[in-house]
Amino acid sequence: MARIEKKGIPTFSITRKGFMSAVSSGFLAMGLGSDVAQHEFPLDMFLPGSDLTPLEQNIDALVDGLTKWRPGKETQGHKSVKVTIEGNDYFDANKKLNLTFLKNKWGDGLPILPATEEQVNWILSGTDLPKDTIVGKVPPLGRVATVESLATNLVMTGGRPEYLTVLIAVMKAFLDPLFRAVTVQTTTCSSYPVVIVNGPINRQIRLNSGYGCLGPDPSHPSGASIGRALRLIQQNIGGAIPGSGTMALFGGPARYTNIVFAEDEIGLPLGWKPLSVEMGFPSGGNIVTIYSAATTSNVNAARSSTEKVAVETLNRLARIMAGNYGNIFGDFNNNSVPGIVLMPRGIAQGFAALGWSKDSIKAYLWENSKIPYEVIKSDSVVFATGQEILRSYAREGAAWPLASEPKNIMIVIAGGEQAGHCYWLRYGPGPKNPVSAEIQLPTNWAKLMKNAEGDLGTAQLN
Amino acid sequence: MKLEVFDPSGYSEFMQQSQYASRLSDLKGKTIGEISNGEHGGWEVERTFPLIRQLLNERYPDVKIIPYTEFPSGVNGIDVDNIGDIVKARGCDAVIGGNAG
Repeated sequence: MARIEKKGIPTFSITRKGFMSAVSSGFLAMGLGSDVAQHEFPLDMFLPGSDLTPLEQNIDALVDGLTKWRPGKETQGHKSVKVTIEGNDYFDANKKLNLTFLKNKWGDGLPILPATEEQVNWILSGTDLPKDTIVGKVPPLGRVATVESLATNLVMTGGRPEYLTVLIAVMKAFLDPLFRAVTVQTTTCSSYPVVIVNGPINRQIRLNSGYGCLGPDPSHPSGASIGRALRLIQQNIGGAIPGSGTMALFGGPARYTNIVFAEDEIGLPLGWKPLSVEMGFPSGGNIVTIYSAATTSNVNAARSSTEKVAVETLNRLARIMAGNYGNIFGDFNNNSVPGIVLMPRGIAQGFAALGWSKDSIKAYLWENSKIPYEVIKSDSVVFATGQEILRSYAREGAAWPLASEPKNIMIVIAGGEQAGHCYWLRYGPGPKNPVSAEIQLPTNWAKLMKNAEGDLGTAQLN
Repeated sequence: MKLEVFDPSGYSEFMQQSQYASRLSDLKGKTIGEISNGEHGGWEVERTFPLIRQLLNERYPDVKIIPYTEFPSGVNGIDVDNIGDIVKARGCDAVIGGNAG
């Protein structure tokens, strides 16, 4: 609606209880004020067979919104400021700090560390960028994120300087228009960002690609810290507060730290490309790829010891992929990715030994996860949403594929040496496509690594 | 003991309220577009917009309303850079957006 206003066409928004601030945030993100020509109606009015009397009673508000409404006074934005907390001792001050932050709707309810100037400067030693470098405006609120504000949020999560350059790359990808962060942030779906990192940096920053790669893992703490910092940025800067800036009905545990993990590149079978190469980057680069997931499924009894068992594993995966297609068809396009298959190296190498390639696995899953036409047609809401789009990809009466091409099904090697399980991360609304960005190492990287080794010991192979 | 910490919320920029469209003097004879951010069949859009059409037509018999079915719909259908151009190309003088979520 803000884009329409900017074209000189007045708008009026019909909103439901609890959604007014989300609408206002959308206008703020477009550089307009937060007071919007809108009217809030009771939620009940939007439920099946509801009483529409409130609409009849408030039609004047709609007419006035298009004819009489005026925006409020212009307001000047402000730079970030410091907050001073006093306590009897450090413990008391830190306790009060945590309470104050919660009152300001900063933080996630878990303890945070104080982002003092000393600590923020320590984190800022992890980049060559000036601290006032603008990273972008974070929707829906559209507040400005700088390198310093990223560092501030990273301090709060217990982060380290060597994580900052990864977080900056993640934010660059997050704010790429193809990621459609405003939808990721505001959707009613309980989805969350998923970040996969490729390159030698994974071992250097202790990012997990092996057992328990989705966390938690005290030997590999960086994923939780970077992912939690991203979530705090989404919330503290972007305004993704439940019930206003984010309307996710359920939220969920993955929203505390999002999902940040490494691909097990050492475990890739010969000839299998890492995700970053499939995303168009040269092999060996330090690359982040961001995606959004709404649900996860552990796929049990996944093995590749014989051809029969391997095919059964793929059939089981395909059934799960097809069983909960969620928003896949509403956002379908040439490059849309329906989800990510996580496959431990123990299974991937078994498939490779049987002659399967990454591409042939994708082709098998693509073919066998199609939704039969009679099933999708009987799902009237999803069918109505997707039928125009899918017309270009499936002939009338044919089964609907989860992606335009098999290559769009992502397979990432992670989870360790063992067989037994795969994992399916299914698409959550927002991203038109996954987005990748290169991580820029600072000039003092070797020193940072030495410091990290002093603090945490030698980084282990996953 | 005093702790001085950074506000983690970034900062907001100058709000350009002048970018809002001027309101119409009246709805008489105007063309109004309907934009739905809900999926088809969700949030009762197929009931609320027809009722709005009826109520407006009772007040302004010559108002022309272009139904939501003639525009892109859903968050990803309308959250596009050229949505303003799309409604402008249809001759809309004003737009009613909804429904609900």
